[in-house]
Amino acid sequence: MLSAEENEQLTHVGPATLMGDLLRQYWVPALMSSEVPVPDGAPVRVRLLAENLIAFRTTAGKVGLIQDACPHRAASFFFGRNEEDGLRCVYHGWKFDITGQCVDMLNEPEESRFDRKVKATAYPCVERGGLVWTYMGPRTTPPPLPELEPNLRLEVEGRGSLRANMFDWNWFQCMENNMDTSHQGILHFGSVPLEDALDPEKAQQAYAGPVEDLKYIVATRSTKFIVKDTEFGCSYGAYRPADDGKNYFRTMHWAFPWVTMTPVIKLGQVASCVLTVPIDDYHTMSWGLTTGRLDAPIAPTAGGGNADRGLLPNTPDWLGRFRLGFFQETSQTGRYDFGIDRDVQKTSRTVTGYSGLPSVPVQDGAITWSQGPIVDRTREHLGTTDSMVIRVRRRLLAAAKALRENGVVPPGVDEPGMYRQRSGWALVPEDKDFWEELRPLREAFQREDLKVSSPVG
Amino acid sequence: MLSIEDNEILTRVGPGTPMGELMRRYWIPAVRSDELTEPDSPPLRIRLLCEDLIAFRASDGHVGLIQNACPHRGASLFFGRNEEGGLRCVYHGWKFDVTGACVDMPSEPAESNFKTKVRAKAYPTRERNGIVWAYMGPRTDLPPLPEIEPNMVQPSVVGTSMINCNWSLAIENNLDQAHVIFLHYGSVPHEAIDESWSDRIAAWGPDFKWVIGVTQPQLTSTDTDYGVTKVGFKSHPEDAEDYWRTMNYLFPFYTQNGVGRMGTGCWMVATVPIDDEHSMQWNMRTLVPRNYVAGTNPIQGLLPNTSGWLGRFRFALNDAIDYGIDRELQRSDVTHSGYSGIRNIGDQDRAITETSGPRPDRTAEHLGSTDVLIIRMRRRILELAKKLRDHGTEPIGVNEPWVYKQRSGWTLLPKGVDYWGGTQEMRTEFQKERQPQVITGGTS
Repeated sequence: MLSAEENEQLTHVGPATLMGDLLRQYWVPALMSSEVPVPDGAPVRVRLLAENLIAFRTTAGKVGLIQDACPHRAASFFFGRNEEDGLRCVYHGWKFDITGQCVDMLNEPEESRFDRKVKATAYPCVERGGLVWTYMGPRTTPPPLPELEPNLRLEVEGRGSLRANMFDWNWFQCMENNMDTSHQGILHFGSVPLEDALDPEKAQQAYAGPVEDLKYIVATRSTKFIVKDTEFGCSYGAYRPADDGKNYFRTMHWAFPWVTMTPVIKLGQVASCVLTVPIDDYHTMSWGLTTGRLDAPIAPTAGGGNADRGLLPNTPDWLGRFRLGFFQETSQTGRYDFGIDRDVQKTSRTVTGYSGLPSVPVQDGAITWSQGPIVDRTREHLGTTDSMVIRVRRRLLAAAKALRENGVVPPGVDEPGMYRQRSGWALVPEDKDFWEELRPLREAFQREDLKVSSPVG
Repeated sequence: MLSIEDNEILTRVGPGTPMGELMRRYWIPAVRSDELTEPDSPPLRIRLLCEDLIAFRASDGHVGLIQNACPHRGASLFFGRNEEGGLRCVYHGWKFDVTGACVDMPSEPAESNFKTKVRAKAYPTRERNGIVWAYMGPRTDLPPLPEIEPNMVQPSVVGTSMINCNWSLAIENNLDQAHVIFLHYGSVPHEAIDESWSDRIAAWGPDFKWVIGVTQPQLTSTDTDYGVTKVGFKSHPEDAEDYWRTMNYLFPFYTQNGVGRMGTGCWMVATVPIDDEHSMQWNMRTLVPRNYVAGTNPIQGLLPNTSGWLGRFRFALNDAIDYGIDRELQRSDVTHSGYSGIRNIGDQDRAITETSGPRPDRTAEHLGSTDVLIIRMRRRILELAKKLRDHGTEPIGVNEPWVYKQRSGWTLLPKGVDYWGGTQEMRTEFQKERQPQVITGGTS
C-alpha cells in the first residue's frame, strides 16, 4: 500500500516530476530504427515521458528527435520537410538540425542572423540492435548505454529479436505484472491439473510454450520469496519444493529504472528483458528484447520480433504505434471483455481455462488494464508474494528522492556493465543458497567481452 | 433556478457527496433478475452511484454485489471465476463470498492467515419480483424494502432502460406535465377530438380530449409523507364531470406519472443514477402489455447489452444520430410525431433530457408556474440531503416502507366533488391489502 502522494510520485513522469527527473537520468528506448527506415523519410510522432517529439532520419542517416512545436510559433514539425540534414517547419521554413540548432530562417532578412539565437529542444540518439535510444537528461555528455545482452547480441551478432507494444495504462502497473511471478500458477496455469502437467504430452497440449517446469508450478500454487537488493536494483528467488531434495527456483531481476528480466525458461538458455517505458502517465511502450535460445544457431527472426503478435498497423497519431489488436477491438466496441469465454473458463484444463481469456498476453493485458489507468495503491492489500513489488517501489522512490534532494546519481547510469544479468528457473539443492549457487549462470555474460562503441549523435 | 452549490448537491451522487449519501440510505434497484440467469453464471459489470461493482449469482442462488477492484492489487473481479459459493479473482486466485469475506487465498503459503484480514466491499441484496435491490448505506440493521405495488404483486412487469443524463434531469422530465401538449401533441389539431380520429385517440388514451382540450390546467402541489404530489384540474363548462390528473414524486428517485386511469393499476418509475451523467430507469407496472413474455425486459428499441460499464439497456436511437429526427415529419405530421419530428414519445423525452445535460446548469434557467412540482421536488430532496449531512437525520421513507403504496393517474369526478375525498379509494386501494413480501436470493 502506498499513500496517494507516493502513488502519484511513482506514476507521473512528465518534465520536472519526481519520477520524470529520475527516468531522464537514463537512456530511454524511443523508437525502432525501422520506424525511420530511410534518410529524409517521413518524420514520426513519438511521445516519450509525456513530451511530444518528432523523430526523423537525416540525409546522412542519423536519427534526430526534436520537440514537436516549432520554436517560432509552435506549428508542428510533423508536417516538416525532412531535407538536407535538417527538419524544416513548413509554416515559415525555419530549419533545424539534429542538435536542435536553427540553421536556416527563410522569412527573416538575410542580415538578421536571428537563426543563430534560436534553438529547439533536441535529444541525442544512438541506434543499437534495431532500437533508437535517446538521452533526455541534463548532462551535456550523456552516460554510456546500458549493456543489455539481447540488445548487444542483436547489434553485434544479429542474434535474437526486438518487439514493442503499447499499453493504454500506466507504466508502473505494467512493470509490476512483470515482476509478479505468483500469478503464473494461477492466472495462466490455474486450470492445469497436476496429472496433466506430469505427462509431457498433456502438458504440451495445455500450453504450447516451454513446459518442462510446469509440474512444479501447478503442484504448489503458493510461492515463497527471497528478495534481495542488488547493485543494479532488486532480484528475487521464488521457490517451491521440487524433487530429490531440491527446490524449484524462479529468479528474476529488476534493474533501474524499467528493466525487468523475467524467468522465461531455464536459466542459461536465453537472455531476455523487457523495458517498460512511459509514453505518458496513461500509456506505456513495452519493449521486449531477447536473444532467443543461446544454444541454437544464429538465425534472424522472420519479420522481426513483432511478427504474428496481433499488432495493428502503425498510424501517424501520438498513440498510434504498436497498438495491440485485441485491446483496440475490445475497447472500441465498449465491451472490454477481451474475448472472455465463460464456457472455457468453466471447463478447460489448459492455459486459457482459469480466466477464459484466449492467451497469456491477453490475460496479462486484461488484468493490468482492469486495474485502471493508474491503479489506486491506497486501497490494495499486499501479501508475502508481493514482496518484490514492495521492494522495487521503495528503491525507485528512494533513488528519485536522493536525486532530487542531494543530487545522487541513481544506480546503473554510470555502470553500464551492471545490466549484464540473466534470469530463468533452476533447481537448487535445499541446503544451498540459491544466490551463490546460481551466480555462474546468472553472471555468465559478464565474462564475455562483447562490446560496441557508442558514438553519441 | 438553483445556486451552483445546490445544483452540485442535487446532481452529484458519488460516495461522500450529500445526495450520494442520501440515496445510499434507501434500497436501490441494481440488477434485473433475468440478467443473472442461474447460479454460477457470468458476473456482470454494474455501475451504481458512481461505484464500479460486480454482480454475480452464487452457487446457492444468492446475488452478490462486490467492489470491482480486487482488494489485493486492484485487478477487476469481472474476469473472475464464479464458483462454489464465491467469486474468485483470476489474477492470484483470491476468492470472496457474497458478504465480501475472503474465503481462499491460494497464492499465499498455507500457514498464512492473511485471508482473515482481507475484506472486499460488498453490498447486501434482496430479490423481489424480478429486481435485485441493493443497500449501499451504513446500517447493519437493514431497513425494509419499499412497498411498491408492482414490485410486490403479480401480474406485473418491469422495464429497464438507460438514459444518458443526470438523474435529476430525467426525473424532472417525468414530473413535467406541461410539455405533453407541446413536445408530444403540439401538432395534433384541436378538432382531433371528433369521431374521425377515434382510432388514434384510443392509442393516445381515453382522456385525450382533456389532455389537449384545455391548455391551461389549474395546478396545486402539496408536500406529502412520501414526497410531493401534484394535482392538475381541467374543466369543460358543458361536461358534468371534471378532469383531474395526479402525479407523484416519492423520495428519493421515484416518480408516478398521470398516464392511465387512476384505480386501474400502478406505475412507478425509479430513476437510479449510474453515475453523474447516466441513469437507469426502472418502469414497474401492474398493467402488463399484450404478448409480454414473463421475465423479460419489455422496453423496445434497445441495443443488445454488452459487458461494458455503460453497456446495459442502451437505446439504439441516441444523440449521435439526433434521435432519428425527420424534418419533413416535423413540417407536415399531425400526430404525436409532428411537433418534434422524432417519431416516438419516449425518444422525444430522451432527446430533450439527454441533450440538455449531461449535467444541467440550473443557474441559467427560468422556471414558470408549470414547474411547481419540479421546484418543490428539488427543495424537499435538498432539505433531506442537508439534514442527513448536518444532523444525521434518517430520511423519510427509509423506515416507513408503506408510504410507497401510492397510485397516480387521471380520473373524472362530478363537478363540485372534493378531489382528496373523491379519489381516496382510488389512490390508496393497495394500502388496505396486506401483501406478503416474497423475497428470494438475498444476502445480509
